[in-house]
Amino acid sequence: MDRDTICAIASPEGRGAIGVIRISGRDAFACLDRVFYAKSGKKAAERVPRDMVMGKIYHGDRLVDEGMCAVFFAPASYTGENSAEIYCHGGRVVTREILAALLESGCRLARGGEFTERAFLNGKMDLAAAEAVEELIDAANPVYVSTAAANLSGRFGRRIREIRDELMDVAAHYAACLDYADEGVEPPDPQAVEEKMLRAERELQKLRAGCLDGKIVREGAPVAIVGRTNSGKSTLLNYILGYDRAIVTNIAGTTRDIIEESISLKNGTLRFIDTAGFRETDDPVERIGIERSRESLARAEMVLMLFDGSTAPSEEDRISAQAVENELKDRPNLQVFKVINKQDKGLSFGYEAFLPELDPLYISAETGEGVDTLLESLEESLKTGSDEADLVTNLRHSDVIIRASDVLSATVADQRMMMTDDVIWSGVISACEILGEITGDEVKEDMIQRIFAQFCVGK
Amino acid sequence: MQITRYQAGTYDVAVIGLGHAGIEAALACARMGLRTIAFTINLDSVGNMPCNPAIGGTAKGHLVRELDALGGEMGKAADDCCIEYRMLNRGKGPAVYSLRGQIDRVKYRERMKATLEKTENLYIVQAEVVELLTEDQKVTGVVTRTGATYDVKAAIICTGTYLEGSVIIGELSYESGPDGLFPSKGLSASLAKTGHTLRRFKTGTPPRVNRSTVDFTNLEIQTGDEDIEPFSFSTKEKKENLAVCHLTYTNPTTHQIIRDNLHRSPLFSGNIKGIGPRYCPSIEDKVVRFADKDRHQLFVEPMGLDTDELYIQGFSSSMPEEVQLQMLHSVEGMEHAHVQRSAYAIEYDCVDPRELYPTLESKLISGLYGAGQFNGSSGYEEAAVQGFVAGVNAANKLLGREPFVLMREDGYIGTLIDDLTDKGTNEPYRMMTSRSEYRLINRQDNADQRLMGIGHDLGLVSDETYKDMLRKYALVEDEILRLEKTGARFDEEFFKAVEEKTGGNVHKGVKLADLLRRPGVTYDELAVVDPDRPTLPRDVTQEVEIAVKYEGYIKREREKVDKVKRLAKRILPADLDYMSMATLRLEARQKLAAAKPNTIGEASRISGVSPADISVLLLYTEQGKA
Repeated sequence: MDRDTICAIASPEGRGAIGVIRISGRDAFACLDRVFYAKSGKKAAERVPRDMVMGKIYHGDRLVDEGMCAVFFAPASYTGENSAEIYCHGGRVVTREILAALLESGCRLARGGEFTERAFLNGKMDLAAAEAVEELIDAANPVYVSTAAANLSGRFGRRIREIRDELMDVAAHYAACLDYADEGVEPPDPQAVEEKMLRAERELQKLRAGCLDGKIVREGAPVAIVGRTNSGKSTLLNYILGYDRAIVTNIAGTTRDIIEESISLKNGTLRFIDTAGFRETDDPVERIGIERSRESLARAEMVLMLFDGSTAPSEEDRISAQAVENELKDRPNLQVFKVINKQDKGLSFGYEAFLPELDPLYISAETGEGVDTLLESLEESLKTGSDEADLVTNLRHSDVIIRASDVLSATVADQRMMMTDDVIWSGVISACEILGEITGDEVKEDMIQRIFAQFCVGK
Repeated sequence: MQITRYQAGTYDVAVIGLGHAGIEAALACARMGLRTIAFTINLDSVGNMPCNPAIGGTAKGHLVRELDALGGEMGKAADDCCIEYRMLNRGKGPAVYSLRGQIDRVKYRERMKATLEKTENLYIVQAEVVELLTEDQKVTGVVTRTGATYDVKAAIICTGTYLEGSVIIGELSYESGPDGLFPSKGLSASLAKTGHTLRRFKTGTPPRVNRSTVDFTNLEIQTGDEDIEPFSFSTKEKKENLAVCHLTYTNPTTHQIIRDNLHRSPLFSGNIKGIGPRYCPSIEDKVVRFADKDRHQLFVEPMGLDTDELYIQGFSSSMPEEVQLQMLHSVEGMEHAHVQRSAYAIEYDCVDPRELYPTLESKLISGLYGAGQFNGSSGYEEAAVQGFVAGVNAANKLLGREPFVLMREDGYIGTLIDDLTDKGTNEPYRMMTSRSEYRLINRQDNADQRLMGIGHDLGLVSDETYKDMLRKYALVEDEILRLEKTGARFDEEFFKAVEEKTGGNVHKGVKLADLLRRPGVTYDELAVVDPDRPTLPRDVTQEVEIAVKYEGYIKREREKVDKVKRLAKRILPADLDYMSMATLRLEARQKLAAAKPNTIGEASRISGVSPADISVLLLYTEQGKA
């Protein structure tokens, strides 16, 4: 399968003699060629696979490092795709700059575990091998494989079942009309069907993100700071980034040109996302629209909900808090911190009505009071992940979700193209069959039962 | 009383029952050269339609077409006796088109009887078979009520709803076959002695009324198709519609009458023990289960051209007669209807089809076959296809040939038999398009392409018919190629119209096939920009249109078929340690360890092993080599 190109720093955070950066995907060689220039002058595709060659590493036109590089031609690589590894001098500065260069050349930052995920999905490793990978990486944490492949009692299984149920009802509705033509069953409304499919797709994507929330090779937990104008977001961020335990570098983000800054702590890295805009000034209200906050929210694993304790709650507070509450509902694993700022000015307002279930942390971003504690809390959360993170089951689930989503978007496209009912019906059934690989349900008898339960048909 | 038995003759195959299953079985055997004797309790009722005087319908139309392609008789007979044709699900896509026809019931019986009588190697007898003779788990003969004993090597049971038949009307129940015919008594016990598990199913039928007493004033008319497609691929002459149907509805009064009398309904009082089909509910069923509906649709169907009898579809009932009359007279148009035949429920014995192989041969007695409602199915078409398969297999076995088994991916017949023999059924099984996985490939329009080669190999499809089919699809192929290669003639108005309908740009050099792929564009409409097109018959252009428009989807479905086949073949090592597969459910591990399947296909058929389990199992073996 042809997948986009991802990159990541493969070597651990911190000091070390060698840094390793990995690339994999359809444009791996093209991206590599924009960053690594072999001494021989040969381009990636022309080099001998697995041979380490010397060369220079550039970020734009600036020389970053001299190092080595090896290329791997699909399928003879870890992921099964065209891949490469760059070996550079260790240390955060160099590795991050090379990463930045790659991101600018067309790669995307890999999610945690994504290289292994691709290896699995491309059939490069089976169950046993995938388990072994996790064990090696996370030796302190014994691999804990759940036996709930079909009988998922967890939230994940329930959600998949709910999604499948809604799609099954659509399938049954079509079936009732088509198998009992002439009996006056109202045909499904195409608009409604399309909405249901799109909603299912969105839900599935959200679940998939949760799937990969493993403890594998963390690339940093994305942190979003949300709060209304003048609540002190940038002051706080500046303070954190200037914090002497932290080391700061800029990483060029994804195609949207979002600057992400991160700090490395003992347990891992915090990546503050979408800080562009309010980094420049303390009052960038025009640029930080509610929309952008929502986008950051969707990508975040941790959220700092910042309130100005010295002024009364405003409409903007209510809107931001509502957005965070909604996100929390969809993803209960999201770590949210309620932070009340401007302690130095005297805390006149407690914001009790907002995120009432959370204990607030009181800080002053200006003086630094309480920020220590805040950072400690953030660091603590880096330690916890989902204990049921079952790599193998998660990868299988991820695969199922990808396939079901693909079918749904194809079916939506078909419907927009006004394809006939038989094709749409087949698409919906297909999606249900795929989801049934998680829930363990068979489609046909289920569909037939629903027909007779919900529709008065038959003579 | 002991009847003196006498030797009545030696034959290859005995067919017991000449309903829709029996007819196809008898004809197939005889046409394949076997000396065949076929029994019926009543010779004037061969091919009777004790319920709906119609053939086809959703998914059933597919069965008729597939049977016709294989060389069965039903399609041709249906065309000879059809008085109104309707293609259902028009506009919903070719995968779900299904042909349905109102049939002149009496004419159909006469037509079938004549065919049976004229068929070489086939001998029909009006007699009730009461005993099956076996020796060493093999069929050796059959005995009739009059003591006639026939030596046969194979027997095909096609007893429909006659086996220990019991008609139920309200509080009354009495032994009877359907439609006032004698039941079969004794054969059931004889079959049970072989070790087979017999169960009791039920079905029902609505009343028939005299049309001169029906008030059609406010009833909606339903006419047949203007553009008629016949059932059989060999029907060349143009068919006509000679009758119409009408629609009416029950109303709250009807429903109240039913509710007031539920205590007299054998279903609700417990008199009926047999299990009825969900999809053939009595009107009482419907009113109780869908209490909030204030009306239910009823179809008023003619039973034939030479009779004034009308069939009230949707009004199946086992209520006492007087209640039936009250119910009926509350329906619009039926206020003064004279009922010529009451509605009734009928219970009958049938076998558990899991005790049969996919060839429909018994797993217990060699040479014994079952077909039709005896196997737990419902419907004339379902019966006919099984009769055909059983007949061909009986013949093949005796002729020393390979078994004739159609797989699920081969079409609806394969799906039907697989569902019955593999999964069994708890109620009379009706074919539905929902049951097939490959609806886009296995359409009713391409049954000839899919199956006629097999029918021809069996010797049941004539060379001429087969050659016609090959010619048809050669024309189809040629025309598809021509459309792919030929550019459309530029016509501004047409191009604009297409752009508007489909939103995409149409550039000047566009090929005809690409235009045809656009939604809403038909082959006929394309004539405007295709002035040099050859004149092709309708059945050819229809196939061309479907092939071009649905190319992508058909291809995807074929890939799915291939993938399923490949995965099914994947071998499971004999020493696989299922119990150690941590991500597999415990129940699945136990079932697999006990069954030790040889292939993934076998594993997927183990009850208790779900698709999720299979997907995990695939990961434990070689992952993703599909």
